[in-house]
Amino acid sequence: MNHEDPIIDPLLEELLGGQSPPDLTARVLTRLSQRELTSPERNGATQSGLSQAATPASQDDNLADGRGLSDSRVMVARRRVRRARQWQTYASFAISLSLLGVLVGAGWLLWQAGDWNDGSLAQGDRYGDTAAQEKNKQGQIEKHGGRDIIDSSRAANETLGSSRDNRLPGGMGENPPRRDSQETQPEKPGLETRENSAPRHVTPIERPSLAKSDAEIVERVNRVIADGWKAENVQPAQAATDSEWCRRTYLQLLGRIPTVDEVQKFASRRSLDKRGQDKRAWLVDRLIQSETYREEFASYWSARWANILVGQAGGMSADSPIDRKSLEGYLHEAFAQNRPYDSVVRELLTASGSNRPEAEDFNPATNFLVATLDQDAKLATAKACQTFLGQRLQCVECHTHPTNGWEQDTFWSMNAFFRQIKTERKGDNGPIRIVNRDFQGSAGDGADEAEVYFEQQNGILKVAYPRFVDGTEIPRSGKLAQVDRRQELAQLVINSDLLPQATVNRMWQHFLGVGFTTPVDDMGPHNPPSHPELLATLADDFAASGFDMRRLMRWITLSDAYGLSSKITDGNLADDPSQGQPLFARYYSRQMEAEQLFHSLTMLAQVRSANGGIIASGDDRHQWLGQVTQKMGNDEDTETSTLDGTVSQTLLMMNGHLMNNATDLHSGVLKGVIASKMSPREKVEHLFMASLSRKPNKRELKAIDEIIQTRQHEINKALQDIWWALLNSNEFIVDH
Amino acid sequence: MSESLHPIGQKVDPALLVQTHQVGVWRYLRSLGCDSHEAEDLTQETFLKVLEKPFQEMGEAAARSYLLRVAKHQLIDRRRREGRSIAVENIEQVEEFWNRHASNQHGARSGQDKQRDLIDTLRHCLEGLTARAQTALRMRFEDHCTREQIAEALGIGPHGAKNLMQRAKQQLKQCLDDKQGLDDKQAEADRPSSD
Repeated sequence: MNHEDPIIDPLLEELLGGQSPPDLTARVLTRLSQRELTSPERNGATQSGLSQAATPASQDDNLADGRGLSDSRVMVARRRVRRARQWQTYASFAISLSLLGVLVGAGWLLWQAGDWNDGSLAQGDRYGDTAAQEKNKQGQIEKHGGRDIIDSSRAANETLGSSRDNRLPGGMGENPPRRDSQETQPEKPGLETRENSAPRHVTPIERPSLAKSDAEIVERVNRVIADGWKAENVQPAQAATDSEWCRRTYLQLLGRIPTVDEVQKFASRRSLDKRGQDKRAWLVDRLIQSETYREEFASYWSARWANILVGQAGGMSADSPIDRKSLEGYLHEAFAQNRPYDSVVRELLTASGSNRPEAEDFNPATNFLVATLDQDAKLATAKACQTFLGQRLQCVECHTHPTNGWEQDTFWSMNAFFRQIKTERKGDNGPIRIVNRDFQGSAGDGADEAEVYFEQQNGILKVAYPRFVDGTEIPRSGKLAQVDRRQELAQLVINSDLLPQATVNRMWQHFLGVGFTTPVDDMGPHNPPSHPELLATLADDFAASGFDMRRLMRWITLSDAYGLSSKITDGNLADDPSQGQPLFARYYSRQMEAEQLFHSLTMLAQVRSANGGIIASGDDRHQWLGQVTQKMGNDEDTETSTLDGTVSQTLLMMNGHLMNNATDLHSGVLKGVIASKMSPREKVEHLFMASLSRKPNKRELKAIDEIIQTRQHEINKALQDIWWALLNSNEFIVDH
Repeated sequence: MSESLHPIGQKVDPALLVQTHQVGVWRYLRSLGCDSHEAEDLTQETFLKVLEKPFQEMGEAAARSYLLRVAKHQLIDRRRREGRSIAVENIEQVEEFWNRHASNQHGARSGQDKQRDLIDTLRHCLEGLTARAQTALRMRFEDHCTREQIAEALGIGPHGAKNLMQRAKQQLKQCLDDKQGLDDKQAEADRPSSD
C-alpha cells in the first residue's frame, strides 16, 4: 500500500473506492465471550476490576497488567469473587437439578406424542444448528455467572434476539436445543422444499452441444498422450492382449472379472465386424448399454459412486446415520438411466427431506449431506468441494494453504452456502431429515446479511459471506425466500469448469489407475495436472455432451493408453508415476478395489444364471465391505482398509468366508468344472481362464501335470488346491 | 474538559467503546500504511487487547488517544515480526490530523459523529475542486487507473498528472482543516457561558 498522502489517499479510497470501515462490534464481543468461556479463571480475577487502563500515557502492555493497586485490595477482591462464585455454583446446581426433572418429564411426553426431536439432541452440535450453538454459548456464559465482561457484552447478546426466549427463568440454564420453527420457513417435506420459490441469482450458462464424434475425441486423446511420449522420449508398451484388455474392461465397467464364456466370446470376434465396428468398441457398448448388463453396470457404479460420496465405510455400520442402501438405490437409477451427471450433483447438493424410505418425505439423495453435516457444516463444505470440484479445502479451514495461497476466507465463504439447513431426527433411530431454514448469521443478529464467523490463527474473528471458489458472490441474505444458498451453490458448481474437470480426472484415474493429478481430488495451482490441455479438452467435451457419463467412459476405455500392456519395458521405464508425472506409456497395474474383489469372488462362488447378469446381494456386499473398511473418524473423513497388502489381507484371502465359498467343491465354478466331462488338463485350463482370463503357459502346465500325476486318487482335491492357489495369486488380485 | 458518555471511572460498555472508536482506529491505521484488511485485523486486535481487562471510562478524547496508541503498538509489533518498519513520514502530522478531526474538545458532536461526517465533508470538498482535478482523482481512486492513463486522458504528461493530483489532495486537506476550524468556532460559540 503506497499512499502518496497518508491521510487523504485512504480517505479517497474510502469515498471513491468503496473501502469502507467494517463494523467489528459483534465480532469483538463474540471473541470476548469466547475468551471468557475458555479462560474462566483469568476472567474471574479480572472481575474485581483490578486491572484497568489507568492512564493512556503508559504502555499498553502495562495497562493490561493491572498495576497500581495494593496487594491487600487484590486479596480482598479475590476472596469476594471466590465466595460469590461458590454461592453461584450451589445455586446453579440446585436449580439445574429441579429443571432437569422438569425437562425429562416434558421430553418423555413429547416422545410419547411421536413428535420430531431435533437431531442435535442426540448428536450434540454435530448437525450444524448454528443458532442452537449460539444459544448454548450464551447459556454457558450465563452459567459462568455475571462477570463484568458478560454484563458489558449485553448489547451483543441482545442481538441474538429469540435466543433469550429459550432460556429458562432465572438465566441459569436453557432448554435443550429445540425445533426452531420460528426461524425456519414452513417445513415442507423434502422434495417440496427443494422447489423453493426464492429467486435465482446465478444464471445457468449455456454450453455448446458436442459437435465432435467419439472417434474424433478418442483420436485427440491418443494424439496428446503420444505427444507426451515423444516429448519425454518414451516408448509405450505394446498393446494389451485381447484377454488382458477384456479382463480389465470387465473389472472397470462391471466391477468383476469376466467369465470364461465372456472372454472366449470376445476373443473369438473379429477385430472388425461386418459393420466395421471395432471389437473393443463393441464390448464397451455392450457393457455400458445393453440390457444384459444394465443392472450389473448400474449396481457397480452406484456402489462406487456411493464410496466417493460417503466413503466405503459410510452407512456400513448399524449406528451410522447414513442409509447406504437408499443412496445406492438412488445412484443405481441415475446410472441405469444414464442421467446427466450435473443433474445428479444438483440433487445431491440441494436435497431436503428424510433419508430413509419409511418417512413420507423420503428423499434418498439427502444421504450425501446426512453423511457430511457436522458442526457448522464444515465437513459438508470440504466434502462437496473435494467431490465435485476436485479441491481439498479442509486445511484452509484453519490456516492459509501452505503452498497455493488459498486463504481461510475461501473455505468459510463456501461454508456459508451450507448454513440454511439443519437436521432433525425422529427418535434415536428414526430417519434423519434435512430441513431448510432461514440462516440468521453466526451472530444471530438477522438474516439480511447472514454472515459466518471464522477465527484466524492469531485469534482474530473474520466474517465470510457466500462466495464461490472462483470469486462469484451471491446476495448475502440468509432468508430462504430471498436467496436459497444451496440452489445457488449447485448452479455455481454446474457452471464451473471445475466440475467436469474433477469428474474427468476422477474417471481417468479409475480406468488408467492414475489421474492427471495425484490425488485426483486435490487439484489446484499447487498440483498441476500432467496433461492440462487434455484434461481441459476432455472436460469441455464431457460438459458439452450433457455430462454424459457413459460417453466419457467410452472415450477413455477406447483410448490407446487404456489399451496398452502393463509390462514395464526398457522403453517405458521412465514412466513412473510415483516418481513424477504420469505419461500413460503403459497400463498401470494395481490391486483390485474391495468392490471388485468382492464381486469377482462372489461370481466365482455362484452358479451363473442363464441371463448372464451376476449381481451380488447388496446386504452381503455391505457386510463384507463393512468388515474390511473402517472410518478413521478424523476431520478429513478418511478411511482405513484391511485390503492394503498386510497380514490382514493375506488372512482374508486365505481363509475368509468369501474365499471358502469360492473354493468350495460343491459350489460355483469349481463345482461345474468337477462335474464336467473335460479332461483333468482341460479342467485346469478352464480354472485358469476363470480366474486369470488366460490359459496356463508351458511352465505352469508342466507343474500342473506333475500335480495331477501324483494326486490321481484325489483329483478333485488337487483341482481345489490349484483353484485356491490361483485365487491367491498376485495375478488374480491385480488389475493388469 | 472532554465530555464522556459515562461518568469518569465508571466501567465502559465494550460494545459502546467499539462502536464509538472503531472507525477512528481503522482510519488511523490506514493512515499508517495498512490496507483495509490489515487495518480491520489490527482494529479488532486493538479492542481485544484493550478489553482484556475491564476498561474504565476516562473521557472520550483520552480513550481515543489511548486506543490509537495501542493500535500503533500493535502495528509496530506486527511490522517487527515481519521484519519491516512503518513507512509513513511525518507520523506526528498524521496523529495531529486525527486528533484534530476526531476530537471533541468543546463538547460538540461526539468523535463517532465526526468520523461519520468526515467522508461527507470530503465529498463536499471534492466537489469544490476543478473538473480536471476531480477527474484525475476519480480515475485514480475509483477506476484504479495508472498515472500514465490519467495523463493520457487529460492530455498532459505523467509528471503533470502527478502534480495535479498532489495539489488536489493538498486542497482537500486544507478544505477539511478549514471545515474543522469552522466547526470548532461554531462549537465554541454555542458553548454556554460559564458566567
